[in-house]
Amino acid sequence: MRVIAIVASVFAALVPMTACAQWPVKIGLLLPYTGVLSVQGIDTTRGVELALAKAGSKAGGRDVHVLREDTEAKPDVGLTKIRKLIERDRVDFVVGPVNSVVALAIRNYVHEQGTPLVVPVAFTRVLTAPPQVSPAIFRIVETSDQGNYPMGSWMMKHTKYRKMIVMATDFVAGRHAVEAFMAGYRAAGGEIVKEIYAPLNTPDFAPYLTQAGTTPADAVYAFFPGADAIRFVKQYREYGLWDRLPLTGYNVLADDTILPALGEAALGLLTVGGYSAAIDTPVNRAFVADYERAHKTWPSRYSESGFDAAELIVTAVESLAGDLSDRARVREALRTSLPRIKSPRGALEFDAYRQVICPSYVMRTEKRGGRIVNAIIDTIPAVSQGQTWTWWNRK
Amino acid sequence: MTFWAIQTLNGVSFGMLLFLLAAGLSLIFGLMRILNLAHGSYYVLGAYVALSAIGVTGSFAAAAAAGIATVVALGVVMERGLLRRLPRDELPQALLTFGFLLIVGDLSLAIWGGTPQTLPKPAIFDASLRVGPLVFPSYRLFVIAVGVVVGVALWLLQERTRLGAMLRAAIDDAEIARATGINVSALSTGVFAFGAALAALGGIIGGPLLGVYPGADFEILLLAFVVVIVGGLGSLKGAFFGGLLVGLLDNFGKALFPQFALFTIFAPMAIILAVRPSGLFGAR
Amino acid sequence: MRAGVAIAVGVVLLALSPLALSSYQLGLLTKMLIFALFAMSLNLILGYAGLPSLGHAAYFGVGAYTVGLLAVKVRDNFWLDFGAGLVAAAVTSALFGLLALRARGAYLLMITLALAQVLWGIAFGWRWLTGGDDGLPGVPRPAAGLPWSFAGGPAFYYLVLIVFVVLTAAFWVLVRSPFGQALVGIRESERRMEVLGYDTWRYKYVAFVLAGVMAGVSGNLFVYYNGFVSPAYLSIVFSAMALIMVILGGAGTLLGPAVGGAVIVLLENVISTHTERWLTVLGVIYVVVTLFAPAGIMGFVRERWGGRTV
Repeated sequence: MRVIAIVASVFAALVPMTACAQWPVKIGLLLPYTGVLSVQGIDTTRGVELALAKAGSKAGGRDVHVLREDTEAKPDVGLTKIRKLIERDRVDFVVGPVNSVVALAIRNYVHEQGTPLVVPVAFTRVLTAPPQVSPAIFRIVETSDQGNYPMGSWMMKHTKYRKMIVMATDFVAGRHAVEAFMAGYRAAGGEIVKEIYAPLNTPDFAPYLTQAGTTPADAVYAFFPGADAIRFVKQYREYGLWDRLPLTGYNVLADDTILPALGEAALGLLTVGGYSAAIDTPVNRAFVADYERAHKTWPSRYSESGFDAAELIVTAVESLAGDLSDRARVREALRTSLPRIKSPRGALEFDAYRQVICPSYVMRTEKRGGRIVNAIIDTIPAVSQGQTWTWWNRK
Repeated sequence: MTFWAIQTLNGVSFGMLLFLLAAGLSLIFGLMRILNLAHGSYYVLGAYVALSAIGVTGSFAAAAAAGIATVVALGVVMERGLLRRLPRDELPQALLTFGFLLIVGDLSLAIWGGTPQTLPKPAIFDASLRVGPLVFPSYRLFVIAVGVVVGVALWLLQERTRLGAMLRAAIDDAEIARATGINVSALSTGVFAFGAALAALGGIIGGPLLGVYPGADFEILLLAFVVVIVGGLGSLKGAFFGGLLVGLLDNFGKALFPQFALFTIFAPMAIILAVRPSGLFGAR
Repeated sequence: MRAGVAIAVGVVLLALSPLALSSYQLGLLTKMLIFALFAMSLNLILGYAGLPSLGHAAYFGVGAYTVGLLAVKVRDNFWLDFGAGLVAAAVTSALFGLLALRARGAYLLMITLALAQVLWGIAFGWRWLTGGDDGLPGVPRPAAGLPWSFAGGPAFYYLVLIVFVVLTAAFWVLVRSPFGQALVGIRESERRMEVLGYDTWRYKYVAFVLAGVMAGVSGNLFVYYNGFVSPAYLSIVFSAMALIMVILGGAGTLLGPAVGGAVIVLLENVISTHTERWLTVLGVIYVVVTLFAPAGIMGFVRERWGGRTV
């Protein structure tokens, strides 16, 4: 018995020393690298890598290692992979996921394990609201509410559109996005004359466009993701709707990943979103230049989000001088580090639920300097999720 | 009136696109009883190669040729090199062609990236036609025209030429066809290559409308299967009219019954299978 | 007898796994067993009766959703929830069997797909009940009124292992019975069986429902394992996965699909860690296996080492 006690106490004395012995900080990236959303996973990763390269791949005196795991955008795969990252690879932080369904699937596990999860893309509004909110989850992307709700009153104040048609993909993200817009728009006195929903992966929007075309209204507000957005915006123009019914919507319609594919078809589109590569600040111009040098293309909002996520983690680790042994201190460091990072998006901070408070940008797709960009025409500062809870999350 | 006219044109143009997507699959399954799950890959590869070729040459026609040639080469390799070695059993064929679907899809992701893209239309079709209150994209009229031309050409080939006669003989009974001196082996490779070419053509014609992106291969494969089942396996006439039927029903279904939009592609299939289980023009 | 010894050794190894494997590895093994069951259920109709189905995830998902919804919204009682899940799977396969079994071959493939897509569409669209494409999280581990909890990895693993062993044994008995032999006869030549006086439709139908119930068992276990359910469980992706597992492992062999299922889960997780091109590697493996072992892994094993037990 005494031998065991001696051995145990020697071990106990050694452990704190080995913890300080420069083991690398491990960041696990839990993102889709294959499938339809692979572009979002790849862009986010590029943003992370750019931020880490800037920091010399070191933080708090320790090296930083990045491990990637492919969620395939499937919730059960995401859960298996995050188990691997946390239990086998013992990562200190996880950045991800892209899909809301994966985020909700891993929420309980992350909450139990306590490993800090920095969410760069998954924007389901329930993740950072009671009861799903967890002290281990830090989200730096705006929810569907934060983006779309303020746009409702902006539309009434800054445009002449008093009657609008709403068109969206019929899935949770699409529905929540336009619900938020409709709530904000109606609260400001606007009228929604029709709601049109199309299934995910609709190849041919013709039946829906014809419906919209035959309904009297001032403009359309839309939310379509990825390939659907490309088809929708192009077909919208081809069917001649644009002259009679200006197209507006969430920036997903023309974000920097699909803007090259849309080309001139997107000119004149009015959208709201958290980031555009055309934001004209020194921080963003530097970010875009660095990114373009590395990847020969402009960054998207996913790249920018990955960049912010990595900067946040590096700043937090620096503030702790590399000592990640106390999880509560790590979480507190993450919470307080967000306002200190120089984000290309602008000023960021966390609210009480660790959801980001960030500016929303109103943009118009224009040709500037021979390039088609989402030019910023207005800023809606410091939108928090709490402001948008008035209509769906009454306490 | 405008509403119905446009919706009908929409349905017909979508239907013709479906025909182009399904024709190759129908041909290959009909003649060789091969369930070619890599059919979706042919679409995607044809579209991606054409996309790169347009970037280099700026010519839609040259790009189309490049896309079709690449896919035909792949088809020939698959048929001669691999599918021939398998027992005439659908299960190993399914696994093999599924393997190819995964390989082509992943390599496409590696080469062309994950960003969703669309093929640029030939410049003459950029404008939309206006006839009174009707606005209709001219490219869709082009799709209808291509569908009709290809349909008629294939029908003529099948019904009116010696090649067509041999094809029909081989479909009906391969052993007897072989006994009468028809080179079923060369015919098989030829048909497979031709089916692949049709799939690639579908990718090039459909590329400007549907786009090309990771996952498109599965979506196209599913659409093609629905059309082939509705029209009847192995029947080109079936692929044509099946495509038309599915296109029209899907279009009007989505316009009139939006709450069932998820099912409008499958509804025609369910109806056909209930009423006439072998499809519109299917044999057995 | 060699097969018997091998099986006994296998079962012992599986039983001892929690002692040797890490928590992550044990979780992976649990997942492999669940998918092995799912693949085996498809094997009953595909491998033995020759009925190809591209909609088998329908029963997997219906079981999972029933269990998930009851456990979250009504009561977490294992016997009630699991039982209800089985009933739901049975009713669904009974109904779908009536609609689908009039078709054959590729037509059967497509109609089973269409039926599963209908369920998928309902789960996807019925947002207020099922959560839509966000899914239904927060499903607790089964509360069975037993003196231990299934929340821990090893405890749940043993539950899955016991279910797996029991069902595999039952499957073995079934396929060697006259019923099972009749199914094989129908696969080989339905016309001949009809001439011999068999009511072939009834045999196919019973097999279809049994396969559906077994798929429901695996779906029930899967929702407990993950703690959530989403429309993915009803999707064509899951159905296709089961199909590939059966073919890769060896359709019509007893353990082939189980092996196929385990291999695919393992490959997907191991390869994807080492390369982003894991789908290409997986595709190449399928192509190679098809060329050298067209009857699947167990088919190959049978040819080389003889025996038809497994």
